[in-house]
Amino acid sequence: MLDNKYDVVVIGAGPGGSVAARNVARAGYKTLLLEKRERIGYPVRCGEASTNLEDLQTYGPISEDCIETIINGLYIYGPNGVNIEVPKPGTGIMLDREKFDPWLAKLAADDGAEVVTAARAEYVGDVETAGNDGYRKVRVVLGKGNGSGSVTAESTQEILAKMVIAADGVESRIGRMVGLDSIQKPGLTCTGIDFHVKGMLTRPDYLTFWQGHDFINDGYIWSFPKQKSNMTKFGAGFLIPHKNENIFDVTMEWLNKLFPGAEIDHVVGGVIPVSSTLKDYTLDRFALVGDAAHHTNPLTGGGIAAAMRAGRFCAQTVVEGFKNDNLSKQFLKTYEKRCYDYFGKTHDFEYKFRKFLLEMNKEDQIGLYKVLQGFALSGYKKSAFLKTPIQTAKYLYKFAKFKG
Amino acid sequence: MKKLVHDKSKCLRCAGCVGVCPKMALDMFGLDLQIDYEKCVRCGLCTNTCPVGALKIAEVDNA
Repeated sequence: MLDNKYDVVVIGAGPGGSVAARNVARAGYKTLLLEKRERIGYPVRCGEASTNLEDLQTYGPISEDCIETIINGLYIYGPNGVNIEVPKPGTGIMLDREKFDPWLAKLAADDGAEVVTAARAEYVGDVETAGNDGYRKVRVVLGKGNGSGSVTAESTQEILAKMVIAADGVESRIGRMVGLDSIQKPGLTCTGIDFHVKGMLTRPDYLTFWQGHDFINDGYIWSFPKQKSNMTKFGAGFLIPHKNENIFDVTMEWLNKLFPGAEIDHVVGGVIPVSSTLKDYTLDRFALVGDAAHHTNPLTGGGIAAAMRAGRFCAQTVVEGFKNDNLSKQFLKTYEKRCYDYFGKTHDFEYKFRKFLLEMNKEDQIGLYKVLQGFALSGYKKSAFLKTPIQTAKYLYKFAKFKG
Repeated sequence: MKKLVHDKSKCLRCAGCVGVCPKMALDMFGLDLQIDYEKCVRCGLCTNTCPVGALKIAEVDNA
């Protein structure tokens, strides 16, 4: 049984939702965190690679248990054998989301948020009552899990929330319910599959990618090592819709081609928004966080760190809003601005770069990979571009002209 | 009659189909996909999105 009134209701206990809930709860606001699944973090639907630990740790120390691997570099197999090695100690980490997501939700609970699983927000209404007494109605279906993930509805309850934060992931239903354009659109959405393969397939402290016309052009193939589990996540993703191919079959074909005899332990899948951040994702007493707001990197598909950062910015802005008696859309735009300045600008750039890369013919793509290879070999000295001035200028000019 | 058919044994419960459905005909509760056949227009976007081909638009008997 839930209470009837909350200051903040957060929908979705992924990294974005849990961080947002924790940060409003610890500021003293009455917070409810709803998760429609029985078990937070399960099943995983993610590549589990994340940005460097230092950036994540600005949130607070990340539990050792959740970290699988410290990543020390990237290796990219490009078109026509033009490969790029990017040594960069500590450039990222591999997480175990089955541990990480519940751990984050527990932090929220420890700091005072009420965390309820097997609870689905079925409906979020418009703002009722003007001014400081305003609220949104949230209809919640409370269920009971059977221990293996199936949930049976048991009761429905209507609660009042002064502020609703929807971090409902790729499903993005709640935003659409209240009139935001948060749907995942064809051409701007990626579908992916991830085989957990026993042992290490590629260098155990590197993220390895295969990209370009020789592999998958409108996406990429990856091999991400989970050292603690002694497993490699071998996967691939491409944009939807795709020429009658299924990402599962395509990934399986590449696994057999690149690593014949690989032994698959289990398979996970997922869908990623790659449109770059939504233009509009706040309303009066409402905000989207994470995948629901398309807070994912449109080039890499990464979104854990951005969702957590957005959760913090959202909570910060909402707390300021409560203090100023102002949770209007206009005020909450500060949250959007904070996200834009921190990662949104980069995501917009990466979005343009992805389109630029994907629309290239093979010959141009090889040329670009060569320029980037030279840059990587030089140890990221800008002077490296002077060795191939004409090529570099050509791509810079094309990119500047490219409308995206 | 054509109908959206969901193969539970293949489904990875990633809920990607829910996010692309333009009619909000799909939802998940726990790990079970719920299809609202009154809303589904059989556009096939979810079938294109599903990473494992667990969703298909198939000819089924009226019964």
